[in-house]
Amino acid sequence: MNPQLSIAVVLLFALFVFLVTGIRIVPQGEEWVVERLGKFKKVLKPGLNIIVPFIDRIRAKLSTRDIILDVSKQEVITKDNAVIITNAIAFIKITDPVKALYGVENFKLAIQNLIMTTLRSIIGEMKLDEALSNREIIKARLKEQIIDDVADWGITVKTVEIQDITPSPSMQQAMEQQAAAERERRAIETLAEGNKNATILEADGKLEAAKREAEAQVKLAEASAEAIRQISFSIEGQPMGAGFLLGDRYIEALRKLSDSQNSKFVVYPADLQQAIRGLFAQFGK
Amino acid sequence: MEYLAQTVAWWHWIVLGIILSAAEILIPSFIVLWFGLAAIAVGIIDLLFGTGFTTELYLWILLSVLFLAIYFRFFKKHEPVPSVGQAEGEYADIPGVIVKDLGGGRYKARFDLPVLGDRVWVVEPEGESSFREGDKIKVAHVYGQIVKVKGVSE
Repeated sequence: MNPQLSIAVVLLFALFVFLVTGIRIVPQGEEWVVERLGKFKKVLKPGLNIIVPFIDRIRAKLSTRDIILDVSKQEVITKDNAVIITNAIAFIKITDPVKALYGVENFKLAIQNLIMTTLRSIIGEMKLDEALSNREIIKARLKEQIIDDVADWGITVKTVEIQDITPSPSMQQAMEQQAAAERERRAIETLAEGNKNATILEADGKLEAAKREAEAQVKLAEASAEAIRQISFSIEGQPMGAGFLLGDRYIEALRKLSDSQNSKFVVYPADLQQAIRGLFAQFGK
Repeated sequence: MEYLAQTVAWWHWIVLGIILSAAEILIPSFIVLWFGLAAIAVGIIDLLFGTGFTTELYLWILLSVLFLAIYFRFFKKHEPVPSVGQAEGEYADIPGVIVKDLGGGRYKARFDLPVLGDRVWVVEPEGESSFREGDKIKVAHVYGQIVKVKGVSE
């Protein structure tokens, strides 16, 4: 074979090897960290990149998209000694691939643990009721508290969403008992209040009835007085008329007595006529 | 090889060049294209000057490397890299305003557009400068949970 041709073929082969080992295509959403002989060299951005074959090495391929981190369930004791179980979900993003690789051993584990401990400390400063109803405040305080911790890791914690804050089973049972007792107390109070109101209303009713009765009696007495006055006026100087009226009422009263169901024993004066006459005689004077 | 040296004609290079250039459609690497263009150039040189196969092979390697070098040296650098989903996201130069002085060279700022999913961040001036409440700023870069900002002169 022609030596020059052989050299050309070898060069061509070397070129292909160089291209195959030296060309790296990085996809969008990733950044690759390159080391040259063990030392950090550069970060490959998306697209076509060339590295020096056999000398440069891709140390890590890091995803620069948002990473979803599950912060597992943990028991937390609140300020008022209630035990609650909470878990969260965090969205983090690598904002500096070099620091994320060299600044911390395992950034996902580091962030997970950091969020867990910070969450525990924040909820530990709150009372149970506050912790249950202030998720937004917990989120904001969590982000503020980890500012300095994550600075050297090249990671930004975009948001932490508290998934669940639930009391522990024993706590839940105690809360349920408390709620039931509270409801029972309210029921007893409502019942007592009802009874009280009913008694007051009844007494008011009786009072009102008595007042009306008294008024009625007064009216009746006034009416009787008026009637007697009118009768007296009309029979003035006529004793027989008054005697007739009295006799009429007397007989009517006796009739009513005899109508009664339980009073059948009626004592009449021995001489009814004489008695009436006597009455008339009294009026006649 | 001797057979190739005797039989390869100028148009073979042109055909190889067209095939390699067309292969760019299948392999979107933007590398094979330069080999194709180099092969077409070798075919034209062979047609014009009647060069030998060995020389043509050298020329092909030389031109391919040259074209690749030119591409990487002059054109690749100016290609805009989309920032979607990258570490340096689309937050550069987002304007905002200082709302609270937290002391110790830190401030709380509210941005016109969300930066990393939130409008309110703790910020620090990028250089030695300091801000007052109400000062207008814009994002320089993100440093962990702190957004480094620079002032905006009215």
